[in-house]
Amino acid sequence: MNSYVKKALHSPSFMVLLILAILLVLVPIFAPQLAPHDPLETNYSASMVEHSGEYPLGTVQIGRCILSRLIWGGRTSLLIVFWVVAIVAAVGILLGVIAGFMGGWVDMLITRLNDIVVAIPSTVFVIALVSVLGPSLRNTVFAMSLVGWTEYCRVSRALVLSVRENNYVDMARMGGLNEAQVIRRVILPNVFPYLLVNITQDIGANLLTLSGLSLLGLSSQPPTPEWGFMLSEGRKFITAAPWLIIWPGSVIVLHVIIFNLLGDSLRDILDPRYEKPIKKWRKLKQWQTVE
Amino acid sequence: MANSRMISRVLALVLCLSIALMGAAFAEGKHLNGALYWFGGSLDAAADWDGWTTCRVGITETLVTVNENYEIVPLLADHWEQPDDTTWVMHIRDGVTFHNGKSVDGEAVKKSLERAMSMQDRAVSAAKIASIEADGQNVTITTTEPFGAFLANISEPMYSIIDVDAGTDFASAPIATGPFMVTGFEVNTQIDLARYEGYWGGASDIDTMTILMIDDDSTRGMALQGGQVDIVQRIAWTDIPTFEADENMQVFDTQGARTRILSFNYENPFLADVNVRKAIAAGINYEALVGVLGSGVSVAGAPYPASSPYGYDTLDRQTYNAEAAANYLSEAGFADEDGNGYVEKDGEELTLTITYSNGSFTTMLEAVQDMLKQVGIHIELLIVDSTSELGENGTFDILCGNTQVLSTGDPQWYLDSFFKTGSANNVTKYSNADLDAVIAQLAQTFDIAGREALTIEAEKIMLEDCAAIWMVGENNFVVANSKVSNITPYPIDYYFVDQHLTID
Amino acid sequence: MKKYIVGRVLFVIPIMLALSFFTFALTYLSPSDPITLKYERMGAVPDKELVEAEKEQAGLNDPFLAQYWHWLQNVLRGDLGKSYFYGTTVWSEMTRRIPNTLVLTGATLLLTVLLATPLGILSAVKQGTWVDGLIRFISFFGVSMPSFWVGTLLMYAFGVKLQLLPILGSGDLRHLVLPAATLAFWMVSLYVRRVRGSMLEEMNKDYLTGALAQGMSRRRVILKQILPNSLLSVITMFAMSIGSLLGGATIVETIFEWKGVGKMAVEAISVRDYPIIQGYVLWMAIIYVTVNLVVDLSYHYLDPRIRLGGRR
Repeated sequence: MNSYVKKALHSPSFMVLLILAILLVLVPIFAPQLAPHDPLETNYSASMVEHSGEYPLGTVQIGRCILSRLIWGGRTSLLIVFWVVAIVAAVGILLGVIAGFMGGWVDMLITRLNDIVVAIPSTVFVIALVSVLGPSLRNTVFAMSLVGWTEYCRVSRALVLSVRENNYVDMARMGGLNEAQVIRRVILPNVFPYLLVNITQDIGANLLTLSGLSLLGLSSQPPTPEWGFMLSEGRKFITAAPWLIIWPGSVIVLHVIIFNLLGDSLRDILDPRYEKPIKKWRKLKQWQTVE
Repeated sequence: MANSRMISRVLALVLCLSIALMGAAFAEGKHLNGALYWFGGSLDAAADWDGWTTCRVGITETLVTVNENYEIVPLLADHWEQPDDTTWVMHIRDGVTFHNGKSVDGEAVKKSLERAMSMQDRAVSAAKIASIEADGQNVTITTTEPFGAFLANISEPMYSIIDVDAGTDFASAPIATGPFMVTGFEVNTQIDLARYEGYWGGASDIDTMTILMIDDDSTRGMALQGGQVDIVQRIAWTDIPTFEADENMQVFDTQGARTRILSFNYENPFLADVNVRKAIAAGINYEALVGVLGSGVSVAGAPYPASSPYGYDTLDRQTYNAEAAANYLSEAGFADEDGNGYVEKDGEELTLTITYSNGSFTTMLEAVQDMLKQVGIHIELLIVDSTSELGENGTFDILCGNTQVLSTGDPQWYLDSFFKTGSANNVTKYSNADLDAVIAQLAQTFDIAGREALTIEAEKIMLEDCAAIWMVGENNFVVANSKVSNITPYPIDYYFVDQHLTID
Repeated sequence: MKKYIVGRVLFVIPIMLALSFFTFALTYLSPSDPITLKYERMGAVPDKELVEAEKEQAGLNDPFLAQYWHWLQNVLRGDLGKSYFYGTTVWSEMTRRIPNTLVLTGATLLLTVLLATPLGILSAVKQGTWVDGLIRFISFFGVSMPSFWVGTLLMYAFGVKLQLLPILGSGDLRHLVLPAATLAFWMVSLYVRRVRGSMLEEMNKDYLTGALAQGMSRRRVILKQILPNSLLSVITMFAMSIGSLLGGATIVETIFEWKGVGKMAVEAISVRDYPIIQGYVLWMAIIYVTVNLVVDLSYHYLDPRIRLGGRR
């Protein structure tokens, strides 16, 4: 682990992205200090302003400040996404590790379950579940979590299988560790770095899914600001007030890009397979020309 | 090198594809493209609400119709008389023919109406028909009881006259009497129509017509701007200023009879108090709501719209008055004791939930929530799939819905359904003996002046009682590009295409 | 081989049973009923008696298991039932929608294969150059934008402002351009990244040294060794994408009013149109089994060393 940290500290692109990501998360946390207006404050005399000194990004129909709503909206949107990612990562890794470690019928059962969930078209499933349970933050998180864990399960199972083949699991066992301790002390530390990449990129993917759900009216209850909801409300005004859809869209894209890039650079650090080939390829090329 | 060749191949392919895509088809003759926001499952006027679509696009017609001024005027029946309280003798206009050329007589009308009544219960209850006799061009209709709303209700599109013996599929190729006949139908997608040369009111100028179904308001507006359609019914209200500013577009609005209403649960102890209801009514700034929603709505404040003949101007309407709202609240014993901005009574905060199912109400209700907060009433919003279920179970505080208060141009249905004690749709459990008496009298009154007077009396009782809040009336919008002319804006939204419509 | 295929095809039955039961249970839990929702959608206020009568007639008041059993019996007789909302039979609604989804899927896949493969290869081979940078940059945007945002902006730009293309509906090829472009932008970007990733992984393997040592040209190594092997690992993911596109690109179909199965499913869910939802579930089960079968067969074809059914 320590070598990874050292490597990360020496990668300027990673550090820049990490700082950016932290800043993005800090914005909604400090929403009360940063937002120029109360996100629910209405001003009927300033309906659908494009931009002004008072409202830098304009206002919505009932005169609410878009900038403030975007800043506060992060609380809802990012919270949903972080919850979903935390739940699916925990559940997926747990199931994957159990499947990989125990093998046998447990492995088969979990793998089958995984297969079935993968077969279900996730968007339609989430829509169905949320509309049956009723749209609320909790139900959205629940529905998105039910379909999101499979990738973690698959990857961690495969990783556990490969770690198991290394001798140090056996050595740990011989050293007197029981199963649970082996999982906690040996397997998880080996598996987690690789899954970290997945987790980071899943934040972006879930933000996109959430915005799709909002289009169908399945995210937060008004008047709570939420990016996807703002986006789908803005769609109604595309000809009259295009900025209503442009700003929330840009904010979502910004977050997805930062978290995806962070995931990419994290992978470069954690998974050397993605770094080497070109050097090796160049070496080969030189060697070929020499010949 | 290999790569650049591959790229050029791909580019060539993409280019070929895009050229192939450029070919557009042009229709011959005068062709109009229109768009509606809803189709039924079929074109059978007697099934469900599908007649609204056949009526909108000019396929079917009824015996009488409602004009721009909410007046009942002759259509297929050119005159009628009423020998007694339960008998109507209607004369079918001479020279009316079905799309297959067959002329329309009393017998055809009888068959069509009887079929409608066999198709759904609504057709039995709405006009209360007991029997129909045909005699040449006359039909004699007997009602089960004296029924003042008969003439208005027989204009409902489900009573459209179609050729029952035509032998074509009722659902996809009905044979009726309107200016346009069906040439193609795809459920929820498209209706193709052609002019009926033998139309009794003079054949239309338009040769063919395509009506698309586009259920999203903003998409429909974009289709009009993009030139994909020439005329649409209803666009997103927020787009209206854009269309009004566009010199290639024409916007027609009429004050419709669909009103956005807050209905109270009378079993809620807070809401059972008339002063609380009045405080809510006075706390809503109706003008500001209209300002926020744009030109799509008009201030209501009374059960029936200003454009209808039911004394709108003479009534003591619901209006915004923050001071009055505060007075009503203190009269009801409410005050803000804990200083949190919301009023309480006996330590209980005045918190009410407005439940609604129509996502397009959100902006308006957010504004209402904000306005009522100013007078100290705590409103929560809850959007659900269906409000009907909640209504039946009585598990709601306030429902928000939009109701056609002048269905078929007559006021009685609305009073009957929502305010009569014990009526099936009266989910609010509203009960007022005075109002019940007026409604009963209305059912037995046939002359127009008498019905108007009774309706106004009913309105006065409801306003005095603050039986509901009639916030804003939705306007009907027909928007077309400048190629279309002779558009008649009807206040009832199931009238849209008629024989006068033309296109360059 | 034949036995294997028959086995896989028959596998659709248990999947169908499980999924349909699950769907039934889910829809049964829902508090609203399709008849009431249908009338609410029309903006009409029906009589309570009318709704009750229709519910009774449709068997919606029967106990849960009785409803499921009734539905199952009809399906076994080849009758998928009638939609509560559209009034048409499920069969006719499905057969009308599926071709639309097939066309959109086909166009998207064509664009994806034609663009993602060469661009992915180019990006991998030119790793670290400006070409790679540009391709990665654009594909990064492609996977980072909500599809309905992209779709709406394209609609506004090409349909409303430039008036080049019809913005909605399913008809001739011109109608296909915007929805297919919206989907393809995302799909191409995704697969450029995947092809690039698996190419790089493959290029890192040791056997290449041997191949080059034997005097094979670089181009030959790429085309004959790296490409087939790296595409092999992309195929499973690609098959999954095909499956999910065939299940309907819900969001894109919704915004472009493309009358495909995805839009149908969402509409059906929102009005609790159980027969249609079940028809959709059946379609999904068929897709799932077919896609898996095709993947297995293509693996077998591309790399005969892999035994049928041995994947995992």
